[in-house]
Amino acid sequence: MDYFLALVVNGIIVGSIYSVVALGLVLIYKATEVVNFAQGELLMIGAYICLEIIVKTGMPFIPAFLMSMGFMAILALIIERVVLRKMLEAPVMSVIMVTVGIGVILRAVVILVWKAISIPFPEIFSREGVSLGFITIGQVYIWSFVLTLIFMGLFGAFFKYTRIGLVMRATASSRKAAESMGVPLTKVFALAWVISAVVSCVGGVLAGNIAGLSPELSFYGIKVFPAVILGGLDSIVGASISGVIIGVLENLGGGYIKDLTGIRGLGPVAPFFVLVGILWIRPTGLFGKKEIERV
Amino acid sequence: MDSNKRSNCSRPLLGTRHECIGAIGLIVAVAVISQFLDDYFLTLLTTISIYALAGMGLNLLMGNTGLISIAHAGFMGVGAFSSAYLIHDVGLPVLLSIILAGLITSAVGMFFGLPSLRLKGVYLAMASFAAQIILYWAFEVSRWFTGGQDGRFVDRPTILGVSFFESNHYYLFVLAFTVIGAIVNFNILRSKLGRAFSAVRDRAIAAELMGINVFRTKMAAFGLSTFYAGVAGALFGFYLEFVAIQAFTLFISIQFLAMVIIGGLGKVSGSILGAAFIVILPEVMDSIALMITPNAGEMAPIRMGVFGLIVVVFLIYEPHGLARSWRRFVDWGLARMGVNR
Amino acid sequence: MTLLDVNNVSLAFGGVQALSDVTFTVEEGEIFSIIGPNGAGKTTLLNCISGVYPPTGTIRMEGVEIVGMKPHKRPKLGITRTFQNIALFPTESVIDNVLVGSDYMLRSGVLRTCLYWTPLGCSAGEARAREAALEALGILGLEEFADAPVADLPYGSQKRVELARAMVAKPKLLLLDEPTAGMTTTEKQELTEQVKVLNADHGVSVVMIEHDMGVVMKISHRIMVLDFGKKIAEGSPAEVTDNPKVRKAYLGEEA
Repeated sequence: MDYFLALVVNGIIVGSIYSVVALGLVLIYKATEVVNFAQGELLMIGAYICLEIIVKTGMPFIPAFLMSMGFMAILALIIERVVLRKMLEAPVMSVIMVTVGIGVILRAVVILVWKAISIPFPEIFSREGVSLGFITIGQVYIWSFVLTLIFMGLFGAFFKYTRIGLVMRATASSRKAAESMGVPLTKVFALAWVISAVVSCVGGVLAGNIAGLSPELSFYGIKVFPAVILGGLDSIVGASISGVIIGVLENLGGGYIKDLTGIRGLGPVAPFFVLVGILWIRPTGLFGKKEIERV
Repeated sequence: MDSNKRSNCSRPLLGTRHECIGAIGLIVAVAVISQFLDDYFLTLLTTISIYALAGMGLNLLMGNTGLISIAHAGFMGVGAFSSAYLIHDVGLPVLLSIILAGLITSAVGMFFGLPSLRLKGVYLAMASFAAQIILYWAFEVSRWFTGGQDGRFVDRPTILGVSFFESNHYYLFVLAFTVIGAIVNFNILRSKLGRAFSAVRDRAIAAELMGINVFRTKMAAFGLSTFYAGVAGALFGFYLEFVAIQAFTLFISIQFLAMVIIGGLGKVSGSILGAAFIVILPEVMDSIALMITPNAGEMAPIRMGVFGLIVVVFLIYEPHGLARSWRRFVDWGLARMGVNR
Repeated sequence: MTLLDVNNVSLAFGGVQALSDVTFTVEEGEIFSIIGPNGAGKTTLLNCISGVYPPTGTIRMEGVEIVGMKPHKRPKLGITRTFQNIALFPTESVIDNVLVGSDYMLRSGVLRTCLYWTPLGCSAGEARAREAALEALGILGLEEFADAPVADLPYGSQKRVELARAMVAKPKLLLLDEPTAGMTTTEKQELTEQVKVLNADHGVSVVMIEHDMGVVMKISHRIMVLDFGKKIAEGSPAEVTDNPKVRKAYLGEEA
């Protein structure tokens, strides 16, 4: 039982980072109908930038964190302006491909600058364990979980209570209607990218804190796909919850199924089996909107 | 636009007589020249031919039917391992094994394509993305089939006593498959099946009301597309003489996607030009990178970055790919020479 | 002889009753027009017949129940159609578009396609289909554009390509959704004549949705009037024009 609980708690904590990344993905999709295949690379870049600022300037963590968020905002603006704005009319396939291309470029830059090796993140949160009774967890995990919750709350409040948040929600629910009401679409698109990049930066720094930095961090972008399919590409709440579900599933898959069947490496793949399964049953995800087709 | 040019595919014969003669001449020339090339150029040429074959498959799916697969490297892997298994572990003859490998891949491809009837755009992309991850994991785990991380050895084929062991001879073997693949591809595009593909791509509902079984058409696209990938995989395995799972990663799948997009969606010439581009590009880049940095460790990321950049630039500025650029270039050349087509 | 028998057909989208208890028959050799104000459910009715939506009630084609039957089986039963907003395949040539219409008759699997030129291949069938397609284009005066990309044709001609595509399938029943919409007066006249020819010389029955009353009155044998998803009148052109309900619903203030 303790083993089970340990796996679940671990899953929730890792999953909370998935939730953050999924949030970024859903944000862009909702506003612009683009599935960003470079989300993982944004996360990775964010983490590296934060590390670089801390190491090079000796700045304390919080201002460095904020600065790297600013950097990511600018990067997102450039990507949106230079590339995606030109793809507004392009077919889905091309848009997906262009984000893949951006991802490849960002990855190349990281490997060129920081090499394809693992770099430990300066210890900001202690790795020392805290006992929760049935399980001992490193403080860094608890901190990352708490920070995730805080940021999710902040973004939630932003969408719920601010004017810009309202405008973005309106655009997401009907682009045409929003446009006819005078919403400047390009600004909304740009803002969606900026927020999404900032969110990824948070995810990246937290993930980096836990496991150190390497180009492998970009796999978060891939791992989060099952979560957004589970939660529905257009549902922020759904994506957040299913991020956690996927995290738990991954841990259980890696733990139990390995012990039961002796099949190795099932953990990271298990969510993708779930993804295929869901798409078999519900073609637009578990909570996704059904589209009505017209002739 | 000259009205007579666009509908080559619907004619009973392959384009105009001149185009036919030109194509045959080109194939013979390549076959003859290849016999005098050194190993470096043979490697390039063989890889281009194999990639072109896989690209034709992917292009049938993406360009012609409007579906998407981010798993074609995975499918190629299924073909490569299947043929290796059938030849060495089961003991079947080479040609039969290649065909069977194609069919096995086809079955796997259609299985992952099954949800495509109801999946749209991004969701289909995600499903095939999952297929790539699952296939790669399956390769890792199935040691009896793939040798796991160690990979497995394959011999170059000998058919009816004729050995294709030497690289220049093996190239002819590959070329034969690529040429047959291209002819079949042309045939598909100018007959009922090709029309059904583009009808489903352009207006699925209208197509259905015209009597096209949309599900079967999509399945046919997946089946054919992955058959090409499977055969290409088998040929790739023979060529390397060693099949390693690392040859079938997500990144290679992405390369294939880039290949048909850069080459030109929906065109056989696009598949071939795209393959040539994607194989030659790193070579050219390496020589440039060598001028900038002598550090070999920096070459891989530079190569990767430029690849990404080219994908992005193509999608923005030449979304119809090299096939379009080539056509424009030829038309321009012919106009300059005063030839009226 | 009754060709199409539509009985008590109803369909609701969410809370909106698009069609309620529509019943009518189309006789062999008839041109049957459906008229009514915008949003009356005309296109929805056509979509039910061609299988886009599954309604409640029964629709029989020559006695065969077609509600719930897969849409792609309609041409085999002799039902083809055109669309309100042109639904051609824009990247293909005119003849390829028309060929799609007759493809359901063509035996041509993957293997036959690969063996194109061989005796087992599909080249002979393809050649025959092309001849039939050219013939259909000839009837509609489009022969010379056969190899042109369909997207390059003017609007009126594209509508006729759609008609050719529906005709080449040798249908018994042709469903036309606003065939003259967006056409010039000359084009309308031409098309009206062509529909008459198809009906008289080729024995095709027609169900037509049309807004142009001139066209409707000129070629229809019978007319049905829909309003808010309900049938409010049916009869010969003269009967329908005299019907007070129709005058009220359809012609509005003119009544």
